[in-house]
Amino acid sequence: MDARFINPVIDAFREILPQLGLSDIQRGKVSMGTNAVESLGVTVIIGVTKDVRGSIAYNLSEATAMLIASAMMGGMPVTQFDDLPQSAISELVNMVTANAAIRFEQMDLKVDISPPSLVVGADFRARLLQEKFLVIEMLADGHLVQLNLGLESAQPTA
Amino acid sequence: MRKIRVLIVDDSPFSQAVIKKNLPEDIFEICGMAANGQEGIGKYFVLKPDVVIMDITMPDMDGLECSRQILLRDQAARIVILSSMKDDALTTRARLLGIRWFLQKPASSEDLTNMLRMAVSRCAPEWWPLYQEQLRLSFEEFMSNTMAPEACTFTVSENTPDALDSKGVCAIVGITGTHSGRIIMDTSHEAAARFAQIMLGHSASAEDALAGLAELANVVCGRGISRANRIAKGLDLRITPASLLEGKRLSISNLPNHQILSVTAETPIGSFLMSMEMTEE
Repeated sequence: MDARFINPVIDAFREILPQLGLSDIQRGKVSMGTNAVESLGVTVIIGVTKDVRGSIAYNLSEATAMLIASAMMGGMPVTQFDDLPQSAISELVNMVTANAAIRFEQMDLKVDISPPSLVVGADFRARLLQEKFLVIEMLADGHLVQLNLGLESAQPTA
Repeated sequence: MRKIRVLIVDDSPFSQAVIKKNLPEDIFEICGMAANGQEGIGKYFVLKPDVVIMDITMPDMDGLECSRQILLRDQAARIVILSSMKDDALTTRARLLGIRWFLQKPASSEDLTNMLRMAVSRCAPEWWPLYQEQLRLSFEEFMSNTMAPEACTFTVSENTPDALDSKGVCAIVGITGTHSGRIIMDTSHEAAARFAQIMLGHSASAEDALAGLAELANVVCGRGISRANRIAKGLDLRITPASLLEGKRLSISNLPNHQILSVTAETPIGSFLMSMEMTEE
């Protein structure tokens, strides 16, 4: 896992979330994950290809997903994590990752992203491209959104 | 059949004339011309064309910014970029705005016609059956080659619920390129382990079972998509590496505005499902 991939994703998150109604964005700890991303309840996986390959898994609890979706919909109450809030969370992931893709582009790394896959359930885990991946904890208005980066460079390193 | 209404946004009168000449009159109606971005935005919302042909380099704003402003107010707008410049940075910027159609000047009448037709075909692009067919064949071949062909039966279904409830393990492969979508390969832990055992020729661990499913997804998607790309002119799809999910209870929501088709393989070691989704743009 290339450390260069961390900042574009964090910066994208910091730029996009305030546009969606969440004002206080903080970075928590960054660590290395092994084997699998244990879901917090809602896991959204988005595939990346071209110069950077792999996937990013956005991991959050259902309660956090509903709070963020509510903020995105102008404070509309969200009591169930059904179609509308699910679609809002998918859109958030899409926007953050597309923004990160533009930042990769500025680093001369061409990337293309797939549509996000939103997964809900209990006691499930996601495995990314590599056994080891980066875990970045972000706090949006105090609510935890975990970014799991399983990315590798498809270009030979200089 | 109603003609496809086209708005041309290009600052060069010469270029406008060439594009006009290359659009067969029996298929297309040019409903308007604009010589800069601002005019393009204004005419788009007055004329409501089926599709816009957009240049990149213009005096007041570039074609991507003009497209962004149109898409901001009408997400369903169909825009084909037609520019003398075409490089990865530009095509990526276009794709991230949601524009999948990019042609370089000079474009032949045939290429322009094909691309405009594909851009306006909202739900069932001409190649969608071909894409499905190649993936289905690739899946059936892989399963039949791994097990005795007569032991497998395949059923195809277009009727799917709002989400896919996993049997225990699944691999997700993303599709990017001229269109976006995904393919999900789903089965039970037991069937995945037995499948890996057949592939390896010896007993399979839980890790082997997951690796076997990822391999099945990568090979089936890689082969199916490459074949589709070879057959359909203008189709340039790519796949992302497979991500794996496993657990007691997990459900994958369908993509928004999607087309879906699933194939189930009933085999002696269990059932395997391949779900193919493409988003309508």
